[in-house]
Amino acid sequence: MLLFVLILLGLIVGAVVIVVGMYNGLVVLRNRVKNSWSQIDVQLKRRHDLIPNLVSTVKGYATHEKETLENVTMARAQAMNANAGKDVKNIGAAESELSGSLAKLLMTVENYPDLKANENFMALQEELTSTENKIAFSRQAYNDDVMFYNNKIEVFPSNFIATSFNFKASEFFEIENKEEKIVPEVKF
Amino acid sequence: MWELIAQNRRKSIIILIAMLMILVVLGGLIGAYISYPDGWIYGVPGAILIWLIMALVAYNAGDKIILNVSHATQVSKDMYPRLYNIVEEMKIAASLPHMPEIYIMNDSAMNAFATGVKPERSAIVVTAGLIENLSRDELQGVIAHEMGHIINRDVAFMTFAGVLMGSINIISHTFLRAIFFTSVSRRGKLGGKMGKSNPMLFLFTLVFTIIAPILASLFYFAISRKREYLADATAARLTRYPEGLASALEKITSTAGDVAYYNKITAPMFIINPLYSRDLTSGSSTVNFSTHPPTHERIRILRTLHGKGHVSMREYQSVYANHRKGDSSLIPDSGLKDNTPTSIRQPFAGDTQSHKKTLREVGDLLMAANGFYFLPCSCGLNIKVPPEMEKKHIQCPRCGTALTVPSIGSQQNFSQNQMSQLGAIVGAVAGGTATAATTALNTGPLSFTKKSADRWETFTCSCGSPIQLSPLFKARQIRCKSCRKKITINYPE
Amino acid sequence: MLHCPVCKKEGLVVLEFDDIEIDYCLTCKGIWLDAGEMDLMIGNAEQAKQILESFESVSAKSINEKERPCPICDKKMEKIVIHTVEDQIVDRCRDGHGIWFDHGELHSILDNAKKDGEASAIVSFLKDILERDLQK
Repeated sequence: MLLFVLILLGLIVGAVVIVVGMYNGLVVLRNRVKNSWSQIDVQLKRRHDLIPNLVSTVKGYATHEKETLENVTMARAQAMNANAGKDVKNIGAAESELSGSLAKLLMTVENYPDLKANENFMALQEELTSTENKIAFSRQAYNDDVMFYNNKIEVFPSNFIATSFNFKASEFFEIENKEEKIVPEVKF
Repeated sequence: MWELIAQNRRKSIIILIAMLMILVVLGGLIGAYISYPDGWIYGVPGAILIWLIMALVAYNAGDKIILNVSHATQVSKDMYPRLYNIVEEMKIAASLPHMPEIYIMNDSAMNAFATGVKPERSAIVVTAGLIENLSRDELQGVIAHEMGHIINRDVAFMTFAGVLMGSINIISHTFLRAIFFTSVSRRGKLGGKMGKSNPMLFLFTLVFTIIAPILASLFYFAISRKREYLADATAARLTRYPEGLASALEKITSTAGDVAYYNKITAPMFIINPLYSRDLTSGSSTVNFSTHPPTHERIRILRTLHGKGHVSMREYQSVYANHRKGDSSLIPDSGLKDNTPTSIRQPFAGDTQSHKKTLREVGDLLMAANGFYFLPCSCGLNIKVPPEMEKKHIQCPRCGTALTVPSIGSQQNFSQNQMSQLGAIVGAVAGGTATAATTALNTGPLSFTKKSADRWETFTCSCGSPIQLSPLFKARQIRCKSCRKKITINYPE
Repeated sequence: MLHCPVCKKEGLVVLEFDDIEIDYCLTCKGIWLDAGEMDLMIGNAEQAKQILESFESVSAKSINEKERPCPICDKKMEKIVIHTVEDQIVDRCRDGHGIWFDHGELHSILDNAKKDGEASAIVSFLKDILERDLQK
């Protein structure tokens, strides 16, 4: 009898240890996803901060690009809205829009050699390029983490822990690179 | 990625053990020779002790020593944002938790190396020539290659293997020299015992002492070459733009004349400070083992990879295997599985700055790091005064204006500041007495007004220490590095 | 810090104008024109090298002038002749690091230089950067 109780107790303790271990493992993964998201978030915010400066610098030189500038400003406002909502899919869509309008703006800059040589503009362009790169690189790291975490949630046996403790799958962060799709218009 | 490090580590340990064996045998033989036959009891621990001391120094202060020897100066973000940004991008791409320190070396040759035994305490050093001559994408490729060495733990391995190699070199060199001198004079203790003790042992010791350093170098280079390819593969994956590194390597080899000069510096540095320092162009050799650096091969592999339109470690592996006649042992299988191929990114289009401007930027940066005073004149001439120079009053040779290094808190400057501050004070204390205004001035915050927005400027703090303002410094406030006082910076309209 | 080849102990200050630098001695007002900066002025390294090498050298003894050390490599520089309306003798580093002009020498070269020579870019730049200095 005593032996039976001991075995039972041992099994229960063992089960608890396994559950706790798996639970902790999931928490670690979830935190990793959160952490790599915050890396992206920092860069997205940085980009939002840079845009007003860029717009005002470009405005001084490129007087005929009102529409392009307005598009960028609008896209930025939308991206900031989406960012407040914390929905990764929405953020991705809004940021793609912003990337697209920024790419268009930078393409029109080609027509203004004075602007291109402006020190302030060059510094801004460097910052913007670097921020775009950082977004791209941190997105890769984030998506890798998400894939790992989502897999863990779906596979046996950790899927039991995931459903009973309400671990939800994370969303991938996708930015469509519109820059690559735009074909520069040639006018004669 | 982790498998890669683990595999590297296994190979490294085998190599290190082999080199350690050489060291132990060397110590033992020399010990036994000096005091026949039991001297090895002292020889073995003696050799190990030499190695341990050197390893300890290398581990704790190695990066500092190498940075000192190479006269590298650390750069912060507002001194050279592009370089800082590129390193930060690669840090993010490599998911490295710590930002490596960045140093610039005042050398017109193009080169770069990484130091730091632990990734948490790593540094990337680039020469001025490198940032002057490479485009953004090329610079990114080089930095990514160095980052590859850091994350693949190459720096640590190279440091310890280098220390071992250095110890073996030092021991055998000292012994051979001692033999040479004693056998020439035929009087010394060593020479005297030689004949009596054991001629076979002597011959064996002599031969081993001569081949030990060669053997150690062979072991060392056996693996370091592969690490170059591995770092290239990592760089291609991190940047998603293999062409960047390829054209950087091309540029660097085309100025090979300068590199010879660089080698002369690193080669002795390597023996005295057996730390990880690697020549980017010649693969990994600072000793003349490989007469033909495989740079052209590295470029070919990177270019072929670029042509495929997407990059991953597996892709690099297969291209490498093609070029190296089926050698597919570069990256372990498990290192290939966990990364999906990503498409090549677009090249950077913003390289509009003229070469002249970049040269000046880097030149100014190095002068600022060396404590030059910057005195911009209103006529457009910039005067840069070396710190050793006593003269603080200079007449502009272009327009004749008298220039001095402005100092805040000094009598003369107060009157200038007064003009700008008085308005604010009078506005605030409407109708206040003159004495109230003066006390407010004396206790009020220190401020400095820049003459121009896009040049370096120097002023001295009220404590006497000079403060350099980079043209990229845009903040409203700066803290004096020596007295910690806050100083407000104003900008011209 | 580079040292003035004439005043020895004095350092040279750097004058930068329009992204080009020259080194200048505050005491004797001599000018060091670095080969690298000449490249930038002319915009072509090959051409700059040709100009630098085109001047013929004369022995220091024959003209009774002291030999001076190059501020970069500290080796003794050679005397070369620059043909303007009047011939002018200046110092050039044998390893091609650059040219040293004494205050008077530069003055006379700039006054007499032909306006259309290959080195005219250098002449007009030096005239501009040292405007006030040369009036005295």
